[in-house]
Amino acid sequence: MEFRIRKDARDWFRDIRGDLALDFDAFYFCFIAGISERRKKDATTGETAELVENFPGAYKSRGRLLVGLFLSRELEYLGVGMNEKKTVHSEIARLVQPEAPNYLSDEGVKEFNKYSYGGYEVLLDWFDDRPRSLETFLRSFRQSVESSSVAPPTLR
Amino acid sequence: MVATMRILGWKAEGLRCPDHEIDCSNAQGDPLGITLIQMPNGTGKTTTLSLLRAALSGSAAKGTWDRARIKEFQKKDSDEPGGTFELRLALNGKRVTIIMEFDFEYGRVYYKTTRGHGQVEGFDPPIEFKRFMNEDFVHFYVFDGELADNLLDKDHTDAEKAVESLFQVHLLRRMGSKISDYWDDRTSGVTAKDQTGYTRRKNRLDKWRARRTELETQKAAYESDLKGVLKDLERQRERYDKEIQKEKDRSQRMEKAKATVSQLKNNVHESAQAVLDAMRDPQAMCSVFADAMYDLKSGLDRVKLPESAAREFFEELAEEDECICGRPIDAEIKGVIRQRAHHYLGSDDVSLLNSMKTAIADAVGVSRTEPANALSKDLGTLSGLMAEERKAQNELDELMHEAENSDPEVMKAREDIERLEASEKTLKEDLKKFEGKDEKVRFDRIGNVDPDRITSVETIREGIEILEVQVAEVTDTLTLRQKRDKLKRIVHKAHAKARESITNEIRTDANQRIEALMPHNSIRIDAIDHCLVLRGQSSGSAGENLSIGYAFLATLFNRADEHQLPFVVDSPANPIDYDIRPKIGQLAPALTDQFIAFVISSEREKFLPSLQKASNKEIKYVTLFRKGAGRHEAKALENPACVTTGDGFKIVDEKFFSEFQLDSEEE
Repeated sequence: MEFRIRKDARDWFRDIRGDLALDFDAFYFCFIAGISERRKKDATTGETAELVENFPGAYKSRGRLLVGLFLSRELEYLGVGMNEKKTVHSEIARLVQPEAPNYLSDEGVKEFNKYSYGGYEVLLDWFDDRPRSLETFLRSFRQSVESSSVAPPTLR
Repeated sequence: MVATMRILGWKAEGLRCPDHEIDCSNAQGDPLGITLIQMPNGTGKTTTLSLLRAALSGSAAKGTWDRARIKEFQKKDSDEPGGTFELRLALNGKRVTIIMEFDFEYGRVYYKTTRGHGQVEGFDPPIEFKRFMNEDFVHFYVFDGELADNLLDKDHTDAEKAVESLFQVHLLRRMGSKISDYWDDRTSGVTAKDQTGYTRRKNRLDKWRARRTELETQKAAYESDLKGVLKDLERQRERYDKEIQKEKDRSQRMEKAKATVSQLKNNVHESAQAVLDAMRDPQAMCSVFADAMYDLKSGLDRVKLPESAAREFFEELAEEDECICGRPIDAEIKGVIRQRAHHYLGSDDVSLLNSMKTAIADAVGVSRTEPANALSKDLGTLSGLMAEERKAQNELDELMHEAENSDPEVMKAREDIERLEASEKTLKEDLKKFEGKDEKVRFDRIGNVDPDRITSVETIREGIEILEVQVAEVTDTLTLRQKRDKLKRIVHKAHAKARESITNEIRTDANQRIEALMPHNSIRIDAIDHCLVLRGQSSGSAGENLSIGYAFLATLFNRADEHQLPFVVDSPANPIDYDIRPKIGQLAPALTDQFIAFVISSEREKFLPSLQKASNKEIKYVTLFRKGAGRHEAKALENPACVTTGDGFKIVDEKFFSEFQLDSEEE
């Protein structure tokens, strides 16, 4: 199963698309925004566009870390503490699929995408207008992530 | 080739009629011209005729009879699970045996056919006899006395049906419906099948095409304007540079400032790309993420996930008879091990989790804050470069402003450039609406989409492609429809023509036969239109009507050059007035080469003598009745020709036949 990006999110990035080496970058910024604000949202296939099945290009070496970040947020979202070994085990087994190019089961990809779908709405909250230059966007984005993210309580 | 069918006899066992065997052949085994079977009512005459029809038509094969219908053939008060009916035929002189095996328990009838190549399962008559041996047709030569009368009744269409079935004219009509079926099948997915549908689709396509032309024209005009603006802009910039260069010192300063701005722009770009790459590390984006990943790894370590043993280890252990500790593993323990093995991750899962933990350790194992700090530093550098670039740009702007203020020509050139740049921006913005794809357009409901609301050329083109397919589809359908109508007209005409010429021929033949049967009578068939229509009169006397009916059937079924079928008639004289009976008796031998009649004792009067008188062929007289008719039983048993079965008596003897007086089993 593939990662998918919201069509309106892809359009939002159109002015800096030339500076982003990959369409996956736009997806990633949405995902990070969703993870930061813990906002998940569902979207229909018609509202989204297919991206890739794997972690492409520069993300190849970061795929396992992103899965790790996703798992930690998802366990928190599900209210599963690390001391609940059986539940942790079964939830991880449900979300991962070692043979998949993105290491995620279909269900896992579905949940992963939901952070990206929700994350686009976070971007609309963070920014008054769509980005016009990469450098300005990167600085503002980082600032928003830092001021938004708080540590996940249940994992502590 | 002439198709000749003769019935040699049949045998019934375990069925509703008394067990019996009828032989319709002479001592040499050749089929007899006339066989008379006398059976009192209630003996199973109707059952026997139904069995004959089923055996001749295969109508009970392949589960077409339901359980209740099959049960009707079981002997009364019997719990025997099965019964058999065997029909022996001579088809073009070759023996063919059809066996029906009744299974009353499961409500099934199984056919077996024996002919040249041996016995086969199922109903399998020779192909050249199949058109006579089917359910629609068989009741025209295995019939009761009323059929001949019905042939002249306008409320019955038996005459026309008989002609249509026998000469298979009905196949042309069936072909007509097959053509319609084909059309329905081919066009089932097409919603528009007529001229209106075509016009609707064509108009829609034309509208979309008009919109494409409109958009392309608009786009071309904008592009042309933009080209002009860009050309003017280039010219004005050259003019601006030329004016600036008039003063050497200022020109040099400006060149230097421009180079600085350009260099800093590059630096900002490179720095931004480096920051972007650093931000692709989630642990750098925010130390909270680094903490989250690290906590996940530590948590997994704490609860020992993944375990050192993978699911496969336990699955393999369950296959062994002995545990690694030496204790035996019985079936119960095996089951428990297999069940609990599911609590462990598979080796692939283990490997993935381990590699994820390693990646986390490599990224944030040493410090959870360092990656974020490094990114902050990079962002600081980027901010510094951006500030420098802004400053250099301000300096350049200042120099330009100075030049513009000191030289009206430069100012003029600057103003022109600004005006043209504004035009360029507007035109580029205008052109954007033609680009890309309009994701909101629902092509699955293209009929409801107004193309005038679309500005994306790509979307309009995609819509046109879909509409062109739809128009082509309905165009194909229209062509196919014209072909269908033409073919149906041809088939309809062929059917009418074939029926007309066949019925004319049958009418002429039947009239010749009527003339031979009734040389002093001028009654004739005028037409075969649903029923037989008489010339100049609506009906004849009862005797005339029957003569005409039988003559017509004989014309159909006893055609010397085409086919010859037997007549199996139930009660040929029973419903007829006494004064007509001799007529039927006279007719029967002349109608067909094999006449098999089921009669009751009261039917003999007036019918039998005339039949005997008219026939120059050997007649077989069979009397069949069920056990329980006291005085007849005694008399039958005295007869040396008497054959006793489990529940009946059969006597093949003319004298016994003539003297037997029992119309009904109930008497």
